[in-house]
Amino acid sequence: MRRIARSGRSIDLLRARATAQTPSPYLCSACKHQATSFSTSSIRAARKNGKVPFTEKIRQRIWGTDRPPGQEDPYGDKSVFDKTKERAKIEEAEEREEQLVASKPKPDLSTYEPASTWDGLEKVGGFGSWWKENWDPDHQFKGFLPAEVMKDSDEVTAALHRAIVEVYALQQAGLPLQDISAAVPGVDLTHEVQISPSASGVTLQFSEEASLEQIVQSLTPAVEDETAVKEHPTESEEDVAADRSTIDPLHPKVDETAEKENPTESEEDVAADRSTVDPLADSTQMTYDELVASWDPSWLQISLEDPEVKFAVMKRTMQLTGLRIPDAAIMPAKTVKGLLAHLVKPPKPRKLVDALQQKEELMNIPNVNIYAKRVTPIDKHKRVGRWKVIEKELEERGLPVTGHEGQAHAYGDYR
Amino acid sequence: MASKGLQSFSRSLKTLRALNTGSKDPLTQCLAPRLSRSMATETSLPSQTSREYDPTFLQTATDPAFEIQDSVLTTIYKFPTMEPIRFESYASKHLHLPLRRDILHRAVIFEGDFTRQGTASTKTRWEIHGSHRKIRPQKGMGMSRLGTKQSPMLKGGGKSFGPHPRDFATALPKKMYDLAWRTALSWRYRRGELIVCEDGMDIEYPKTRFVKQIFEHNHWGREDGRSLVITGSFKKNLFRALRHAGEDGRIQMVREVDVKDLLELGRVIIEKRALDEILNEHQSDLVSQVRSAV
Repeated sequence: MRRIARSGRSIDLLRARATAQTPSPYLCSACKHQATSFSTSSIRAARKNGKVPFTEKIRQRIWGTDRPPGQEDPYGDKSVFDKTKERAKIEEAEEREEQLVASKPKPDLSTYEPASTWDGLEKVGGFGSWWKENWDPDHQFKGFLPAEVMKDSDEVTAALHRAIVEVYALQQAGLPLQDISAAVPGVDLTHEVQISPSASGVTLQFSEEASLEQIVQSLTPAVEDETAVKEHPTESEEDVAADRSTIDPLHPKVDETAEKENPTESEEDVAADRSTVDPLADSTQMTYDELVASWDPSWLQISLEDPEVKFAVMKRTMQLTGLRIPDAAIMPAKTVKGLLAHLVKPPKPRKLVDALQQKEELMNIPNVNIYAKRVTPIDKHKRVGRWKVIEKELEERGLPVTGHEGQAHAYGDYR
Repeated sequence: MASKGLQSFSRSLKTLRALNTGSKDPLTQCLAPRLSRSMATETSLPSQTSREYDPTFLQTATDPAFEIQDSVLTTIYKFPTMEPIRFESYASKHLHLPLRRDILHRAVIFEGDFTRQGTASTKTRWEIHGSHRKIRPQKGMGMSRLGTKQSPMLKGGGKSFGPHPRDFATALPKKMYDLAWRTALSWRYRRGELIVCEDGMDIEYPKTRFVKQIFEHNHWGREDGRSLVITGSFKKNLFRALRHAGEDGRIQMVREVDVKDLLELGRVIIEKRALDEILNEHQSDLVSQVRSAV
């Protein structure tokens, strides 16, 4: 519809238009018609609100107002039957609610205090922690290496010693070396065992506390009744367990892996074993560095040339310490010492002086000196015994003693 | 001739240095035997001394890791648990090559060039749509002379020397590229960052939270520099799980991997099958291509 811009628009008409919208119009129909025909705002408003249906437009045109009398939508409303039905439904729901409210005991609100913080309030909605609470506990990953890594170097040395003793014990017992990691590492029995290289191979000196049989026994997987504590394993867990076992099928596989899966008493022992104080060493109050010192140092010369022994030692060490030994370190290690050199690294020196002083090839050169601080002209004076004299002279003349720049200049040395 | 020239040069260099570094005392400077220097016995060039004082040389001289060997050991792990299963041996020319940064650099540049899409395109004045009518008369308007509106100096006009689709790929000898592959793997091996896993690596559940547990347990995750997992084929659970754990690492099939990928992240966890495939495909400099006459 084309609209004409009207410059002089009568304010009376606008007033008439405003009154026309009131429920009791008193203007004659001609006036009404005139007022509406001039109005542009109403159409604009209607369009702004959305689409005006065609029937509504017709009705508006017939009545000559924006709000024709009668029903809101005389063609699209529900029938009387539907309306009664709906009303009945609402009433029924209200009745039911009333009954529920009536049956519920009213809480005593006399002691109610609204919370000022949200701590301790129940959280409603969302499933942010659903997986954490319901899925994660049943699907815990259990790796071959322990979760926490040994950090203490003496502890690591002790673990390597243990691994070597156990490997050679297995070898002496004539058992296959692949079973070295079959059992969960328990109490360390090898503290007292002395191991040293010999012409034929390796000699093991067992103590009263740990005989060959006991060590071999500790390495074989636990028997069935020990792991009876085990609760019903889920199928997935069994799958994992089956996957993990690499030992020969003749061996009692199930109980071994079952014990691995569930933290039983023996594992708690392991945890206790990992702590700094060992139950065995507890009686004598022996720390790991004393323990390492108590062994014959020749155990470091034991050969690892046999790849089978090397593999078993590497595997057991990794299982005990949690440190993954990279291939590049395994390959060149011909003796235990070589392997230990990778596992136990001296801490990195914090200062450059320390790093340089550790280098023998630098220290052995006769014309090289290493100083912790910059060598100043004062140091040079001190070295030849001249500084005391200079200091005295400076003090006599009331000159600053600290500054050596002037001195340096005097000697033609710019710092 | 050349060696003589070099000798005399080194001699004069030494006298110069003697003058400079000698004591500042003018007396000693005067007494310094300048001319007799040329008559002195010859000493070796300083290149040897520098080699002598190279600390890495001293370290490596006695290090058995640097002994020449035919093959190197590699531990094969079982994938999610990382239990060592056995040792495998690989040729030294496959996994124990010395680091060649230059070759690695060339390989990475070669790959980068090859990967460039090269689809940037602009229109010249001859390609721009429109009439070639003269914009205004040549003379009489008091303004500059203009021809068509496609002129490059006008807004909406053509681009004079703009980009056009082209191939950015550069060439690299195949033997060099293959050496770069093995050098990259060797570099990882020497640093202890090459973890070879048994064939058929996959996990039980296609869950990111599960693979995150595995990465955290093995120290492969974000704190430890992320990891690249390479498999020989598509593994449903592992791929689905790692797809959303990008902050902890990346998973790729062996045919999607290039040298740059091997060098990028903290470590490479590779299926044995994939490693064998890479080594088998990238050994053109080791294996003769000449066919036997049989």
